[in-house]
Amino acid sequence: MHRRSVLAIALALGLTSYAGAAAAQSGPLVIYTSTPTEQMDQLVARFNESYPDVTVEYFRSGTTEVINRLQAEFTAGSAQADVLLIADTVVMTQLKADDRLQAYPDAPIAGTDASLHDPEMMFFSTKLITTGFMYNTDNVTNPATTWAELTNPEIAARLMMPSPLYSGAALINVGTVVNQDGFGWEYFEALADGGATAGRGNGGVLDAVARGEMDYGIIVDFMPLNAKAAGSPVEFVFPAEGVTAVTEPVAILAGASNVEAAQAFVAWQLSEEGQRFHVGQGYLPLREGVTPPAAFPQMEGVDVMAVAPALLLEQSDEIKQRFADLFGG
Amino acid sequence: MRQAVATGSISLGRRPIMKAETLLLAVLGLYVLGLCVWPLLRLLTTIFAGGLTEGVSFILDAWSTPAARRATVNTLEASFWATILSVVLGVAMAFLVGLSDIRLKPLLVFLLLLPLLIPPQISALAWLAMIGPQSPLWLIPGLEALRPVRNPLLGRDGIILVMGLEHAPMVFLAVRAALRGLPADLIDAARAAGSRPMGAIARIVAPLMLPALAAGAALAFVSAIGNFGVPALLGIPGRYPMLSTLIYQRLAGFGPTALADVAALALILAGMALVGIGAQVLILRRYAVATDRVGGAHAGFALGRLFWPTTIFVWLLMLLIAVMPLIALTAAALVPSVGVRLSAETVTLSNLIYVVTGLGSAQRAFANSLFLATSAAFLTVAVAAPLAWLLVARRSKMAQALNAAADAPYVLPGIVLSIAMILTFLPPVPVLGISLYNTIWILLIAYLARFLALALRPVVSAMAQIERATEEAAQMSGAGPLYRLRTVVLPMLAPALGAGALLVFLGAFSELTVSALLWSRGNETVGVVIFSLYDEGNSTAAAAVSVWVLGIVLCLALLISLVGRRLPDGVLPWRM
Amino acid sequence: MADVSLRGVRREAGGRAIVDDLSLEIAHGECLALLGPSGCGKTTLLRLLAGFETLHAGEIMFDGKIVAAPERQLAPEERRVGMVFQSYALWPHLDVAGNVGYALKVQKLPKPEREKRVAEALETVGLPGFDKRRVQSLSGGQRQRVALARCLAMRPRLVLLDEPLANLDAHLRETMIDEFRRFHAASGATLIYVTHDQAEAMALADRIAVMDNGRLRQVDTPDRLYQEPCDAMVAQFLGQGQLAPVTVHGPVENGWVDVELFGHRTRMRARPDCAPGPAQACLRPGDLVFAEEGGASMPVTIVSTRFEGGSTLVRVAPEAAPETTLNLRVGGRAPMIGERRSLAISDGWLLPVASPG
Repeated sequence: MHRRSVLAIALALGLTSYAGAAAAQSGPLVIYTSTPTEQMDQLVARFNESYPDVTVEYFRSGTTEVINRLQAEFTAGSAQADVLLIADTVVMTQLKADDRLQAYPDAPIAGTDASLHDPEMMFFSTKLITTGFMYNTDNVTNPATTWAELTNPEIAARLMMPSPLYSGAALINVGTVVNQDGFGWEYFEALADGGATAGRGNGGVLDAVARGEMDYGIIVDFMPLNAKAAGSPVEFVFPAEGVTAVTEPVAILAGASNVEAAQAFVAWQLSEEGQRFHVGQGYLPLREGVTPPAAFPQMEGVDVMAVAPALLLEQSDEIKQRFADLFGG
Repeated sequence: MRQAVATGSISLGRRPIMKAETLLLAVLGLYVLGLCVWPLLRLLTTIFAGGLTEGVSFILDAWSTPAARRATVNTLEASFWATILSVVLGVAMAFLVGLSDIRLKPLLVFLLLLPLLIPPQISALAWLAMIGPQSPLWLIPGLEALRPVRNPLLGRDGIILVMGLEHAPMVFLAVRAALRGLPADLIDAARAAGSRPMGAIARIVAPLMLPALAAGAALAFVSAIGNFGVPALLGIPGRYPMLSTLIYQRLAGFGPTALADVAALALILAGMALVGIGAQVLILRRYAVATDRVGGAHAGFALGRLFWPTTIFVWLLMLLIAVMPLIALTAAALVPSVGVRLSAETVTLSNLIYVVTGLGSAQRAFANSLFLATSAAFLTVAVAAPLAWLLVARRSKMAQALNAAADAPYVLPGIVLSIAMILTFLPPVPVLGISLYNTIWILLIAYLARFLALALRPVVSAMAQIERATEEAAQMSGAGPLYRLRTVVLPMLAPALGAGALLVFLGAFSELTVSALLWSRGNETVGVVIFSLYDEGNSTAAAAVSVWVLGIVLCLALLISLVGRRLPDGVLPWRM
Repeated sequence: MADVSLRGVRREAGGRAIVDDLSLEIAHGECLALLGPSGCGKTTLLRLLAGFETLHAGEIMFDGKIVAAPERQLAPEERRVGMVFQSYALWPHLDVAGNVGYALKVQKLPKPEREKRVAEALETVGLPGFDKRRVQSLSGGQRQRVALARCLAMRPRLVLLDEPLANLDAHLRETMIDEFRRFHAASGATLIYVTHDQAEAMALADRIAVMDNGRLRQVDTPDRLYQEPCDAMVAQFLGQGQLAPVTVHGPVENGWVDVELFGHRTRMRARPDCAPGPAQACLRPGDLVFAEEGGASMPVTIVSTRFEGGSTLVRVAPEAAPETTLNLRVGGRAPMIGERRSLAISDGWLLPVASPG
């Protein structure tokens, strides 16, 4: 399950019966997210320090579940969430195309790279999550440093990665890589031939590599870095060719009932305060001037391979199909 | 409805005495149709949103993709073999416990039931850890040569093994309950006729156990085809897709036709389940024989020369399938971070402490799951008993249909059921006018729908084994249908009711796939919390919660054991 | 108490009639045995009376009120009829008092009254103080008595018994037959008793209804059935009857007529309408004796003997018809096989000629 941070708690009873009652930045705020629970609790607590009158309710699950729930709600005709915070720009692009989001033109994006946000101000990145690879320090004495080395059969046979069929970050990772010169689908074909294993999400990759079940794992950055800090025998590598990046976009849903509180939340995420909080949780910030977490190298030293979300959206079915054909998913 | 006792006059001047029964049937029908059938129909309508012909061609397209065909074949193959394994293990253990003098039976039974206590995904994880290359198992001298490079559990064989073991308790419970009711005379007669013990077992006991075996096997099969956790952990990385993971995958690509796609694939699973249940019905019809249960059960055979070999083998087996995964799980909970080797220096209780003190979601989850599982257990059994009676004793066709309908929510992957529930219960409920969505009640409703089939299997089987004269005698004593249901039938069904309630409780307590979409803040369940933690990369916390779950359930079991002296024989399967 | 009336009762299954156009009247307080070979429909008839089976034609009345007719049948629990099952059908989860008092609980009798009736019933069947015992700990005979007590406590006007002694040993059967007689006297109920054992039937019943293939062959007192069976089936089913071909000479006088069989002349009983010519006679073992040679006896050869405790059953073949055998009982020393002795026939009954149609 890749990291998507969207907080959402469903309303206890009834639907949008709070319409009139929401004053500025107060009242209930429903967030759907894929951010880990512990982190969400901390985030809500910190957010409430600035906005004590907003009662945040969130629904947290893997992205698949979050989107399915949303979809079912759409079909049943009554979406519950105000804010969506997931680590999947492709999904956001799709929702935007389906007119499910609303714009927030006054969002305070100054100080961040405008290209990271939606040009129509429909969704905004909140942090940078890169995908590289990790290895088990007990098993591996001569670690690889590049993506290319992973295709060596001895390494590939002991490599695990998340699957784009189940994880949005993996979709973005695979989609980005196949669109890079020198990589393409041949890269993944080489991995598949070498015996690489495709699981579901990033959590499973961390677990397998940390326990020594596998030696290498393609994975998002913060998971192994946090685990290493806690004592796990793992190390994360920013490959020399560059990392792929997922930004964790936040968006306000078209049918949101507490728009003011929703906008306050989005603004807080982009603010310096919010960005420092993310750093505290181990993520790379977007805002200039905010110091990244100690475990990370300088942002300038890391190359980011990028691909337009629209292209990814277009190719998403094909990516999944080809990956499934290769890895039997 | 009482006849005039004093005057002794009887006439046919009043209406037929069907009223109470019809009412009962109507209530049960409403329950089953409302919970089990209607939500699934609602899901099905998404296929036909574009019209009938479009819907049909959509279904055919969905079925004919290579992925669907491959997944269907795999599902049948793996489920079939897993069922065989469950039957072999379950029956062998039932016979050992019921008919031999092996020692420490309650403990054995308890160990055998453990797989039901652990969330299936965690079971699979524990197995992966135990068999994987890093497992301490390979440190045992003499076994290094067997150490695998790649985990052998990934793929079809691992799925069969883990699912087979996971569902063996169901077969065990069904056959054990039936063995209890077998009169000793039948076996003694066989021995008097010259049969050795094994011969008596093979020729006399085994055929009489066929209905119970069929019930257990049907349950195991249906559980296998709908199982998600094991194929997800072992099949996806093992390049062995099954229908449940395929459905999950379709949902992950959530486009406009995702729901319809899912519904079309779900139809395949429903069809498989029908076949499985149909087989059970056929066997029941052919082999169910009422026996006089007044005679005591057989005391068991002495194993004699085989005592020590059997004992050693069985305990080794239990060690392997029940104890070692628990040890692996506990070890994972006691290290500060995933992958750290457990040693005197690294051992820590911080995870265990954290999840109960610092993780609000875990605390709520325990309370919620306890409430949900207990309620589900009582309610489903309360429905299953009269339904089984109507089905068997009153031969009601409607009850037969309801029995079949109850299987649908069980066999379909939990995620499908939960989507169906959202579609049905998101809009406000008529009459009450409130939406049950995002309350604990939608979880309860989903559990009731899901686990009715679990309760029905052992109860229907037991009902079929009650001698007809038992109820007729009550009729001659003047007891009307509901009175004798309450005073005669239900007490005699008690062991099966206990088995059913237990199955439902265990299934509901650590349930994941149905709850995954239906929970909300404050209404978390144990399975959801465990799996979220794992997915978030926090395996140690996930293991810690699992350890607490096990501890709680064990304590509950002990408590019930102590209190259970009052319960009729056989309600608690581990009490002898 | 009830009288029971069946008129033209018919029940079919699988295309054939299990009970076929059966009519019967049972007086109240009577004990009627339904006797016949397996498959004759006696159990089905009992279950029709109980209400567990439905009839397809005819009607059943208790006390003049219809309880069963093709269009409507009263449910078993409404008929206030007691039943004793072959398997006893005791409830394992209730103790003896619970079993015996069940019907009283159904009728919502107050506890003291109920306990009193239960104690009385147990006393009557010879099981005083057994209230708290578990049924699993009882012997077969004791269980049967509990089943009886269960009936007694109900004070039904009609009791149906379905081969209740089939599972008991011979000695116990003897005891239980006495038990049933006491039960009949104590309850004053009408008893309908299904059995395939003629000794039981003859010992207990006021009248016996012999059934075969769903039809009644003869309904009569045991004595009359024994003395004057109406056809070959009844003759052979009861009392070890054997058939022999005879020639009738002369008219019937005071119920007796001259006959000749195997070349031997003797007198037998017959109906007044018995005509001269060939006929069939029903002979019981007691009708035959060894006699002195000459005159009123025929020569026979001993074929086999069987010691039966107080007497010996001897099988002989008449020299006039060596392929037939006749049975008789003798006390004292048994004859040797192959011996030639003389047999005298002192009694017999001429079977009525079957009426046409």
